[in-house]
Amino acid sequence: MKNITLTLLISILLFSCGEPLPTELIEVTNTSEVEFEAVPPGSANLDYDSTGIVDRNIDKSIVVSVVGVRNTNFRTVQTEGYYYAIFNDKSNPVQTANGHMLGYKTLQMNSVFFNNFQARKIDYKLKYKIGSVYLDTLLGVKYFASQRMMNMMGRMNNFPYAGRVNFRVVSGPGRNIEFDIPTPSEIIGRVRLIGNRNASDEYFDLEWNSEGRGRVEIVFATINQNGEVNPLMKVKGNDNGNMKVPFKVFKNIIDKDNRSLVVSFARKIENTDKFTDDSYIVSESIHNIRIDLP
Amino acid sequence: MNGLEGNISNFSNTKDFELMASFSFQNENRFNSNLYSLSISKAFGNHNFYFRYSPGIAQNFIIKRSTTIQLPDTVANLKTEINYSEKFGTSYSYKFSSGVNLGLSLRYFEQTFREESPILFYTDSVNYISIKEEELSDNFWRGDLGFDFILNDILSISLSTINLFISKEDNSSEASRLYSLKTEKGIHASFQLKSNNKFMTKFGYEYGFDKYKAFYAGLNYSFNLAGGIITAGTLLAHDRFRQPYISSVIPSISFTKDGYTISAGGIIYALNNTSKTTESLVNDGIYSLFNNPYSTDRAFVNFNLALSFKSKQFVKFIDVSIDSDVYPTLSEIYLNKPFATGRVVNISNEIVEVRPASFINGINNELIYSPVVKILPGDTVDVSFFTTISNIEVDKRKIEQADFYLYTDKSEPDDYIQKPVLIHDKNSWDGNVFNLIYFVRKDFEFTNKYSREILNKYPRESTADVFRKIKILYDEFSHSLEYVSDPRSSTESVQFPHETIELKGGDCDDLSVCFSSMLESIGIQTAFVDYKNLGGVSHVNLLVNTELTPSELFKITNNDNKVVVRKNEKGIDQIWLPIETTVLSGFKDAWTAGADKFNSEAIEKLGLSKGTVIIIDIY
Amino acid sequence: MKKVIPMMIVFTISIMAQTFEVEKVRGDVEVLTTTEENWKPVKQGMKLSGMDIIATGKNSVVYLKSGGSRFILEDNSALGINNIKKMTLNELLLALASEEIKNIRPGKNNNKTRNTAVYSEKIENRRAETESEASNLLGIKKLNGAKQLVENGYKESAILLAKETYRKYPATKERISDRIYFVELMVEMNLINEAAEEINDISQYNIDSESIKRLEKISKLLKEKMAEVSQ
Repeated sequence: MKNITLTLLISILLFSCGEPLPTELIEVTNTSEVEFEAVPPGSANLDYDSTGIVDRNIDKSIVVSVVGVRNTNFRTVQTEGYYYAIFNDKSNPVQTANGHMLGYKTLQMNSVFFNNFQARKIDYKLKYKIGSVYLDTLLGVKYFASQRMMNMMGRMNNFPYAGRVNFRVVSGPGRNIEFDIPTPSEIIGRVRLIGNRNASDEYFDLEWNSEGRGRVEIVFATINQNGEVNPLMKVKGNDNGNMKVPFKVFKNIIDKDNRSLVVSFARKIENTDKFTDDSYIVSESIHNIRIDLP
Repeated sequence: MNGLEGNISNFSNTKDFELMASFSFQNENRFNSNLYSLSISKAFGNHNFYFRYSPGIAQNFIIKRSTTIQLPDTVANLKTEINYSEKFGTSYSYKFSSGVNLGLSLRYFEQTFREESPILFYTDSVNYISIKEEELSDNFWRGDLGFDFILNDILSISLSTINLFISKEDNSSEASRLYSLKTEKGIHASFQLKSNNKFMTKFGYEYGFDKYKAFYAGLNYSFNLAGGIITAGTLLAHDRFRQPYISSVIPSISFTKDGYTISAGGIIYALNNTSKTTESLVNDGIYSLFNNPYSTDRAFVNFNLALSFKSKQFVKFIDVSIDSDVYPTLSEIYLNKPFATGRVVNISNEIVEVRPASFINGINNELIYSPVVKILPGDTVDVSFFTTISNIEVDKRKIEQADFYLYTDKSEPDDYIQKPVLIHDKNSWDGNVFNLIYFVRKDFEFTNKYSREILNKYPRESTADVFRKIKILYDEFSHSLEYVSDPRSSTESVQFPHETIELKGGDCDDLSVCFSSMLESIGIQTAFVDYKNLGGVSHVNLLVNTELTPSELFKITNNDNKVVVRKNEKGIDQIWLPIETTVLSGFKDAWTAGADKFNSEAIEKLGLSKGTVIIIDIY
Repeated sequence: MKKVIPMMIVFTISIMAQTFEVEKVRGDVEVLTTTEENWKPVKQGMKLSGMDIIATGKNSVVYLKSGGSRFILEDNSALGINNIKKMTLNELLLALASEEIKNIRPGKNNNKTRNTAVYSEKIENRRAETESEASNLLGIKKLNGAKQLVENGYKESAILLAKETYRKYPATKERISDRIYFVELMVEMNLINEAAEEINDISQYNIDSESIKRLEKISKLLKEKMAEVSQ
C-alpha cells in the first residue's frame, strides 16, 4: 500500500507543474470606455486663442470646421466662435524640413458664407514645432469668420450650440456648395485635482454637462509663458459627464518649468459624408480650461 | 475537504508524522493540473502541530478594463491583474481529552494588484503614451480558533471562528478597496452523526456577521475492502453568492490502509457559466478562495501518508523473573542454564521471531543474545535469557541491574525491562559440586606452577609415574595446610587454590578444589565425589586417576578395597584412588580415609545407585 | 584432630557391617583388615567385620559365626566379610548398577590429552613379580570364595563378588570354567541381560570344547528365558 501510494504521489507530482489559470474578467463600471491617445507633436494650429486646438492633419479636399469655444483662463471666461473652411489642393502637399506632413497648399474660392455671413480670406499659417523651436509656414488661404466679427456686423451674438450653421461656398457659376452643419450642445467642463500626491492616488476629476450619449474628447496640453500650447494627450470617453485621469500619467511631463496645463473638453459632431467622401466637416463645442498646478 | 479549510481546530488522529499532498485538476479552456497543497503534521502526545504550504489555493484575475490606449498600431485595453493566494498556514491543537480538542490556526494571504495606467512621455519630436504597470501588495494574516467535541460514538460537534483576527492594514489604494478579499467575521458550526460505523452524515453552517451565509450537508458510507477501508460520499453546498440554491456537489471516494490514504473527489458546480465580468467581484467580493462565484469545476486527488517513525511493537514483556543469582566464577553455567526467564506476549497478528538479549552491569562487556524464540500471534511464552561472565573479579556481593531486551527485525528493541540481579562475589558457590570445576580451572596457572615447583624438587625417576606424583604432591600439599571448617556454611563460598595455599587452609571444598587443580593442571585426571547427607552438610572429596590398569593393582597396594576401578571414555578400566582431602597428615592417611568413606557410603550403602554419592568428573 | 577423623569414619563402618567371630581356624588363614597393606594371621576368637578380607591357603578352613548364622570358608578362597550377607535381587541390581555409574560417561571431552605415564617395574620398592603373582592368586581365591557364597546360600553376594573380582583382577576373566559357572547362576536367577553380557565377554577368550558345550547349553536356555520375558 505504501509503495502504491508513494508511486502515485511522485508521478502526479511530476505532472502537476501548472499554475492555476487566471480568470479573465471584463470590467463593468460606469466610468468606462475611456481611451487615451498621445497627440503627435507638430500638430496643426497651435494658436490657442484663436481657433482652439485642432490637431489632426485633415487629409481631405474640403475641411470645414465650426467651433464654439469657451476659454476659462484663471478666473476669466471668454466665449468665442470660429468658423473656417479650407480647400486643400491635394496635388500640392507641404512638409516640414524633416519630411513631416504639415498640410496642402490651398485653393481659392469666390466666397464662403457661414450663416450668410461672408467669411474673410486670411492667411493660412501653420505653427509647428521642430525640436524646441516653434515655426510657422504659410499654406495658403483660410476662409475664416469669428463670432466677434459677426457681432460687430450686427449678427449672431453667440455660437449656435445645438443648432445648425449654414455653409455656402460660391466658387463659380454652377459650382456652389451649400449645406447645414449641425452643432452639438455646449460643453462646459470642470477640472479638479483630487487626492494626495504623496499617496500617488491623485487624479484629475473631470466633469462636464453630459449628453448621455456619444463621446467627448478631452485634450491635455502644456502651455508656456509665451502662450504656446503643446498638446500632449487626448482622452476619449463616453459623454457621461465624468472622467478621472490619474495624475501619474503626467508624471514625466509636469516639472518645475512646466506647471501649467490646458485641459480642453470637446464635443464634436463629425460629418465626413455630407458632401463628398473627400470632405471633413466638423462642428465642435470646446471648453478650454487652463490650470496651474501647485 | 482537507486541511485548514474545514479543520480550523486542527483535529487529528495521527500519532506521529503525517504528510499530506493534494493535487487539483481543472479543464476550463485547457487541462491544468497543479499541486494544490503540501502539508505536514506532527503529534507530540496530546499536542499536534500542522503546517501547510498551499500554492494551489489561489485565484487570479485579469481584468480587461474599459480604459484603452491608442498605441501606434493598435488600441490596447488597460489591464488590472489580481492575484489572490493563501500562501501557507499553520496550526496548533491540543487534545484535552479524547472528546475535547482545541485548536488555533494562522493563515497567510497574499493579494497582489497590478494595475496598468497610461503614462505620457514627450520629447522634442515625439509625444507618446506608454503603459506603466504598478504593483501593490496587500497581504494579511488570518487567525482563528476552533473547538471539537466528540460527545459519543455517534455525535460530534465542531465550532470555529471565521476571520477572528485579521492583520491587514488599512489600504487606501483603489484596487485594494475594490478588490480585496472579504474578511467579514463569522462563525462556522458543524456536526457529524455516525451510525453503525458505516454511515456518516455531516452538516455545517457558516454565518458571517454581515453578508456571508453558507451551508453544506453530506453523507458518507464506509466499508472494508482488501484490508483497508473505502469511504465514499457526497456533500451538497449552498452559498449566498452563487446560483442556484444548491450551487455545488462535492463527491469523494477514498481508500485507507495501514495509515496511507488515497482519495479523489471534485467540486461540480450546478451552473458553470460563471460571470465573466467584475460585477460580482466588486459588488459581492470574494469570501473564500476555495469556493466563490468565479470557481469552476475542479477535481482533487489527495494523498495522506501517516509516517510513523515509532515502529509498531510486536512483542512485549509481561515480566522477567530472575531464576538464579549470578556466580561470577561459574562462568559457563549460564550458557546452558538461563539465569532469567521472560514471560513474553506477541501482541501483533503475525508470527514473530524474537531475539532475546540481556546485559548485566558489571558482568557483561556487551549485549548477550540468547536463542531465538518463535511466538505465534497472541501467544504468551517463556523466553530464556542466557549469559556469559566477562568479568569474574567481583570482590563483594552486590545487586546489579540487568537489562532485558526483546529484538524483532528492527534495530530498536520492541520492549525493555530492567530487573535487579544478585551478583555474588568471586568466591561464591551455589553448592552444586559440579560447579567446583570452575574453581579448579580458573587457577590453573597458579596450580600448575605450584605443582611443577614441588615436583622439580625430586629426581626425575621418582616423579615419572602418576601414582608417585600424586603421592608427592599430596604430601607437600597436606603438610602446609590445615583443615578449617568454614565459619559460614561451606555451601556459600569456595576458595581459589591460590587462596587456599596462601591462607594455609580451607574446608573440604577448598581442599578438594585445590588438590584437584594441582593435579589437573599437570594433566592428572581427577573427579569430585559428592557425599550428600540428607539433612546434614554434604561432603566432598576426590578420586584421582593413577592411569594403572587393574592388572597393575599389585604395584600400588595389596588391598583392593583401597581402589576404585572406573572405565574411561575408551572403555578401558583404570585404577582410581579415593583421597580424603581433609586428612592432612599425609597421602597414606588421606588415601585410606578416602577409601573407607567411599566403600562405606558409595558401595556398601549403595550410595552410587541411590544417588546419594555422585562422582563428578572434571572436564 | 587430624587423626580423629579417620577413626570416626572407621567407626561408622563398623557399626553398619556384620561382625563375624572366628570360631575355628585350620591351617593357613589370613586377614587383611579394611585398608591395611599387610596380611595378618587369623586366630580363633578374632572379630572380623566390614571390608576385612579373609583368605584361606591350601588345605585350610575357617569357621565364622555371626549371631545364629555360620559361614565356612574352604581352602584357597578369599572374600570380604561384607560379602557374607543376604541381598535381595533388587539390592543386587542396584549394586550392579553402581558398577556402571562409577564409570566415566562416554562422549565427554574426548580431546583432553592425558599423560600416558610410563610405569616402571618398581613402584615403591615393591617387587613386581612376587606381588603380581600374589595379586593374581588373590583374585582366584576370591572367585572360589564367591562359589562358596553360592553354596552357603548367598547367591546375590556371590554374583557381586564375582563381578567385582573380574574387574579388579582382570586375569581372573580367563578362568572360563568359573565364569560359566557364574553365568549359569545368573541365568538361573533370571539375570538375563547380565548373563548375555557375560556370555558375550567370555566369547572373546579361547574356550575349550567342553566349555563351548556348556556355553551353548546356557545360550539356549537364555534364549528361552528371553522369549518368555518378551511374551
